[in-house]
Amino acid sequence: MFPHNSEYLTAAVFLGLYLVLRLNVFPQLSHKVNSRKFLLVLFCAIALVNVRAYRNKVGYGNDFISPTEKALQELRKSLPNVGCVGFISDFPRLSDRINARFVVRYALAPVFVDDGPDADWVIVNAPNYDPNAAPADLVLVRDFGSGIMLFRKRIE
Amino acid sequence: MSPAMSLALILIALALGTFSSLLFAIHWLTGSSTQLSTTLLLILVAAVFLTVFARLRRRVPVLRGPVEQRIFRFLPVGCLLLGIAYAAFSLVPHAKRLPHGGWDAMAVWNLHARFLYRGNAGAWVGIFDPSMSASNRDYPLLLPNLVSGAWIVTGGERSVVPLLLGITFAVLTLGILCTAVSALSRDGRGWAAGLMLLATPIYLLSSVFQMADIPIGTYLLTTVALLQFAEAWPDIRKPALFLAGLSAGLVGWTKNEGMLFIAALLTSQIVVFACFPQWKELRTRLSMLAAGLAPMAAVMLAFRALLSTANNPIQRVANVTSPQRYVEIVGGFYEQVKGFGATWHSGGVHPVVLIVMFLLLYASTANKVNPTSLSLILTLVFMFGGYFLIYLFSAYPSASAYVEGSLDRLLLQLWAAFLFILSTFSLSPATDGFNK
Repeated sequence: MFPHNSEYLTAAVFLGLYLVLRLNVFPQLSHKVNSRKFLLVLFCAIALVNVRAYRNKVGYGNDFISPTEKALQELRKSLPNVGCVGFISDFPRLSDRINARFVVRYALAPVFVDDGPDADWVIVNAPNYDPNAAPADLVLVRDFGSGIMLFRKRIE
Repeated sequence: MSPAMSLALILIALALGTFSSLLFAIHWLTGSSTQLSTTLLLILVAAVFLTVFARLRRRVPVLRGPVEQRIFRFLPVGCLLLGIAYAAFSLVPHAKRLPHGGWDAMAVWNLHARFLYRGNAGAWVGIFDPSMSASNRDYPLLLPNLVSGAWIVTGGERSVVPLLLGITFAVLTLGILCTAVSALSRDGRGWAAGLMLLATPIYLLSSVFQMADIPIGTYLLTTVALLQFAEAWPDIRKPALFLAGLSAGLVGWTKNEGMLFIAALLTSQIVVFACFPQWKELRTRLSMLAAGLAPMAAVMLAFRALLSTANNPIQRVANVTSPQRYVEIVGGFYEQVKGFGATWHSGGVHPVVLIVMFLLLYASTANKVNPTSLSLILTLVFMFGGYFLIYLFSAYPSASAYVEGSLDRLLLQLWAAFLFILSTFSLSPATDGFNK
């Protein structure tokens, strides 16, 4: 329930020292060391320790966009003037498929991105693309790399 | 620290918000914004706020502070500068790692900005299409419009622009906190307050995520700072109250929880000044706050009425009779406050330790209670009460999960304003920067 890391233990020790000075437990010591100045130095030191703690968190967060952004921007330029495209992917996990759809929607805004292959134009994000698994009514228009492909409905 | 510096930083923040809001209104009414018109709008807004600054700075007193020991004057500012340098050194690799920000930047804020920037001939209203519900289509548009406006002015859609805007708001918040507290206290506590903000790792982390939590925190801070300025410096009371109203409006236009802040702020003013009682002061305050709030209120009302209705916070009234719900919410509040700051198991110390030390260093017994300080404390209390009720009445099956996924950011939004209120609450009107 209570933290017991070394930083807290060290801070507790120094705060204890401050109280000793403040309450004049050892008058000779309190005379030599001003308690308020001591507290100020401690305050600044702990604050700087926390700024350093930020550096330990710099690896936090994932960049979902950069791996496919270039390919998707190239795709956006190739897309005709449509209001909506479909989207399918071959990621096994649902969370990855959702992430991928959000990334495509971000790249193609303001074009709407619908889940599924029903639209006339369909974006496919399939790093492990298997041509035999592609819907029969879709024709590959262009492969932009990074698993990003543009398909369109087969014209009868 | 001269009050003029604090005013300048506050007015820069307000200018950015005003530019974004005007750009949205023009874009909505005319259908498009060119680079020339947007640049002219930016210059016009800058000129107006520069004029306001020039007029106000002459009326703000520059009072001498009490004689302070050197260590109290120089150590906090020295450590703050050292901290800023180290934070900047850490921020660069972090920003390079997340050039497009965090998840919410991609799914909401920068997505909306792209709709606004790319959506000519009205395509931008696609933001509010029902299929966009997963991207918070009910969110206000201050930040996306600001990003879009910056893209228009700079002539291109560069990913570095929203990153720089995020960092700008973080720097503005830090600068406003330090200078505003220093201007009022006239001692070194302003730098110590800034050090407390900088020593909150989640604050630095969020500056790179390109979300709206830092900007809304900036406007929350400018609102409370302007209210204290109005209390401290009678010569600028009415303009400061007007600007506080404008700032509160910008809070509401940045994120939905800003509307709770507006309600909490106005209610706290009424409660405190009615209790004292200072009816004339209350009338003046409410009228000037309302005057400042009016333009943003018009934008928000039109937005809600014609473009995007807000989610109803009262979703399941039956929850009020569920003891389990209360237990989950209180437990969630405890967990999030305990973990606030991102210092847990990361080599840092919880911010509450710094707060205790700050109070031991600087708190003094106030002989006379400052009604503005009381009203600001009450505003925070009402905000927390509002959050509690929103969690209580939400349709989420698990309140714990809802609290866990949102309260840390709500606390972050209030953090700078809280530090300002903490730093200025114990100022005695007789001896500090209050020109009575």
